[in-house]
Amino acid sequence: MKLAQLLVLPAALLSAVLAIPEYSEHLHLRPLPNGYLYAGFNFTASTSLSAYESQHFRYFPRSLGQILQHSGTRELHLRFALGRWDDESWGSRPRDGKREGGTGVEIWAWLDSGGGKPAVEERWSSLVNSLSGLFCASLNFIDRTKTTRPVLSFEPEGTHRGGGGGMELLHGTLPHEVVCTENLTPYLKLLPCKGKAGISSLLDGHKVFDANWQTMSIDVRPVCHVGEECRLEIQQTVDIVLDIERSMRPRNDPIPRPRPVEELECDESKSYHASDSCYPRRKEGEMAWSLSKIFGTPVRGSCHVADGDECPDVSLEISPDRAVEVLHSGSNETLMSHAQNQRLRVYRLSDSGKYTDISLTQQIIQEAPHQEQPPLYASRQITGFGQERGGMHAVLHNPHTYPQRIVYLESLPWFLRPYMHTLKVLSHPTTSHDQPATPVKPDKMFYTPALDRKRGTHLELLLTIPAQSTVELTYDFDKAILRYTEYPPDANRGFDVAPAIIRVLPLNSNSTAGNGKTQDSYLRTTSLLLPLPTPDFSMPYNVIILTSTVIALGFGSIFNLLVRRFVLAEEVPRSALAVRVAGVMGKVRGWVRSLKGRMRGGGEGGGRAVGGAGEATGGAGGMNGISGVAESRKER
Amino acid sequence: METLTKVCRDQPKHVLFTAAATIRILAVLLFPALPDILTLRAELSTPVNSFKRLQEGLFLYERGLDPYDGGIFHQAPLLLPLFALLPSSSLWLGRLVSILLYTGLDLLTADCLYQIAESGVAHTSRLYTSPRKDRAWTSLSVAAVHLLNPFTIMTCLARPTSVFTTLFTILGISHACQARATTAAFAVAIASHTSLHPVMLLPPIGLLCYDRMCAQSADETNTSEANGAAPEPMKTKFAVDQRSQPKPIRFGLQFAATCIAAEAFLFGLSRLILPSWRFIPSIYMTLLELPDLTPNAGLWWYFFIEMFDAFRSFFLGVFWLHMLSYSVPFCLRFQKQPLAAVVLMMGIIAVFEPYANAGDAGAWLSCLCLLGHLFERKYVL
Repeated sequence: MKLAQLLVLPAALLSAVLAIPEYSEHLHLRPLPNGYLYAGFNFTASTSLSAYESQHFRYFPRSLGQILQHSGTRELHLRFALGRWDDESWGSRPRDGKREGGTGVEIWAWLDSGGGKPAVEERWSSLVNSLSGLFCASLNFIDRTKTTRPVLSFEPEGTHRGGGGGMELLHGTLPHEVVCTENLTPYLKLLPCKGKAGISSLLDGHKVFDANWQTMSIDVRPVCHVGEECRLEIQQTVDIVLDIERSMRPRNDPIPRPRPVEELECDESKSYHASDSCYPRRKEGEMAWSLSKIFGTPVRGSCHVADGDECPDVSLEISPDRAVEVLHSGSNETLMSHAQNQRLRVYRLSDSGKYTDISLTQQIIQEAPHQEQPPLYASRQITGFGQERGGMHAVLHNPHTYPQRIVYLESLPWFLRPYMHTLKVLSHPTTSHDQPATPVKPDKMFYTPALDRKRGTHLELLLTIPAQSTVELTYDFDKAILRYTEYPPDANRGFDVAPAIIRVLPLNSNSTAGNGKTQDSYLRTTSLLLPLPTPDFSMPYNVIILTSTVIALGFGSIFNLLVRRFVLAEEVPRSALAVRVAGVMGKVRGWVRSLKGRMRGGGEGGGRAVGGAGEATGGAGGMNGISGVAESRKER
Repeated sequence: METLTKVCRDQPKHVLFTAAATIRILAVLLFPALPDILTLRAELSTPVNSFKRLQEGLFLYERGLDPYDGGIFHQAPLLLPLFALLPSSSLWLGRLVSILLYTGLDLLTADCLYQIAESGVAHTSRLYTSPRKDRAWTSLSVAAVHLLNPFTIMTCLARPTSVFTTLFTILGISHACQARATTAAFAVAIASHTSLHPVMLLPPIGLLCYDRMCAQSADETNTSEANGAAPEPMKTKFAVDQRSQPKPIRFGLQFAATCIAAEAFLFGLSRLILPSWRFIPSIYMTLLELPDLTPNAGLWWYFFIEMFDAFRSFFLGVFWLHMLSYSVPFCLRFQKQPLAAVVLMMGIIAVFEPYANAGDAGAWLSCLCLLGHLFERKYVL
């Protein structure tokens, strides 16, 4: 069962029968291999554009709506993400990766482009600063160095007046941002039931941020259906992958402790199994779990606030053989089960019930769980050693039997200086190893080089990845040294580099119909940690003093040599002033002595005055080189 | 063998130049990885002359982008069309061609040094003749010091673009020694176009050129007494000079105007090959403001990585004023020995320039050998 189809399903079903409800919510649960559980929450609210423009809000959050109006935002996509989706074992990403963000915070928006570039930058700044306040995130740090303008990677999802003209796309990332409870609380406040009732009551910070992978998204876009008024839709999704065993840790003992030896489940078939070593046994069958144990609480009530909301609230994608028990405190009447697809069971929360819980028992099921293969596997690493330079190495693996066209987007911080002339794209077939790597020429390349402290690098490549082959993308970069005051307090931790975003373009419908997807999908690599050279932060005074001394010594000695005339000691003429001073001093001394003699009462030795002053001639000049003296004398 | 010794005796300059070129080419052929390793050395390549950054600028230039709209490339725009002609340096052929080009530049520089030494300006100027005239180094040894200096050889292999600055600076000095004011001014203008500091050499080189022009005009009027070194002819010469000599202020203005005109011409030419004027701030503000703190061997880097932001602009001003403050005092002090003023100013630049590198230091050491007669030494070269 394709996840994308599944998520479209409730909406598609109902839109045929009824008008779209103004608010609906949905939780999709799917166990993943090795004891993981995927839970995808989806909350969709909408309002008509006329009501939005006249500031009449019902289910659409007013706080967000006013920010969007003030900053002239036509379409907004905001992501908070944590962890890594393990696509080797979990398969393809939920919602085709369209509601997923790179580690940290990611935001992209289409803004009114009226007023030229400065006006757009002003609006963007106002948008990120307001959202920063609304979501308690450091979005205000998305400045010009972290903003890029991608060309190929994103397309507006909504229907815009004038075919999408008059608006501009800006994209910013904060890979260093740690997403946590303080972001979830304002996120839940945007919902009509504020996380108090309905499926949103399951969202508790302790569980959401304990997940192996989680992403929260907010997407605002105008949606127009033929013959209806355009509506502004806000879709909020929370996708999490929980470790079932860890999540079911009892609440009264939340501290992780090593398990007692008796409780360890070891694989005794391994040759190295011994009394002191244990290889964990691969889990067999499906684990037992229930909503209340995993999320710490059952679903409280329901949140059926909008008229015409007949959508199912919870869907379970499990093997048809598994037994599911639904416990609820109210009547059973509104619980509906869908039989359209064997693997999918759909439930609607009862309006009268107080609590609803779904629990599954442990079962060993022979049928291997179906995993949809992701369109592409991608990973990215930093290569090289030392603090001066390094290299980027991205590996894109196409497991399918048809070639795929992708857009590869990287936005790098300015202190990572890539050398694009070293960019190499090589393709190896995965089927045979003896074939040499062949260079792949990018179909298109968009490159905006970084400007120090003003702009980050933006690199976008349109590539074709041949069938069943691996494409390696490498380039060199230099690590810049920042100024003393530009380093953060934890400078030696390294600097985060935003994940690369890969958009897998849909295949042409006429070429290989039915083989590939008809819609594009996204995937992101993990973020990177870039160690930059750090100065010795305790040294500035020493450095300043030492360097100033060196310069002063250099200047002083050169100045000394420049202003001094070099002559032999004996040919220094006595200056007139010195002679006069010596004369005066001699007189004074003679007068003092004669005074003394007179005081002693005798005329003896009265006139022994000696003109002894001014004997130092030439001073320091006499010390200097004799060869210079010889030359300067010849000059005349 | 005999012919070889004969050649060595008769054509020592050719032997020296061939040997120097052979060393450079052999180094590349025997150690093909050496140029790329040296290109990455911080002592040889700085942000304003690195060959790798030139390649990046070339990459952008060849794709029609503005190479100065980025933080990597800060070198003279006129180098771009020149290097665009060469084959790509990632291949061995391109590497060899670039080394051949830089070997040619080194040989030209050595030839200019040879001519400066031949002209004898170092020890005999218009107003002053050194008593140690006989101890002056031969022109060949000055050229040999330049060509066989490890700094120069490594710089040649690392291929920084500051080699062009060195060549045009020394070419300017050599033309000044031959009393060719226009070409000297033009060469200094090219040198200061590629990197800013040779502008500070303008006063001493102008002085040198003026000195030679005066000497030349005096020679022309007193051709009969050219050989006489007795005091009487000197006096008459002096008297004649007063009338036929070029006027110092007029000469200075002409020299500066030629330099400015040449600079303007170079800027216009650069603008023709580039889409915008952005190259001017990109090249010169990088030198003035030191925004790129990539490690280099200079004092500036060491000082400014740890400078507090509030004092940054103050100390940038102090450092630049410090360098500027030498140019005119040297001219005044060494009025009678203008080449000494030029060489000392080159030394100040090599030591105190914002992005110091071994290439500039090597060029200065070679120039210092022009004043070899001042060194105390036991043996004679």
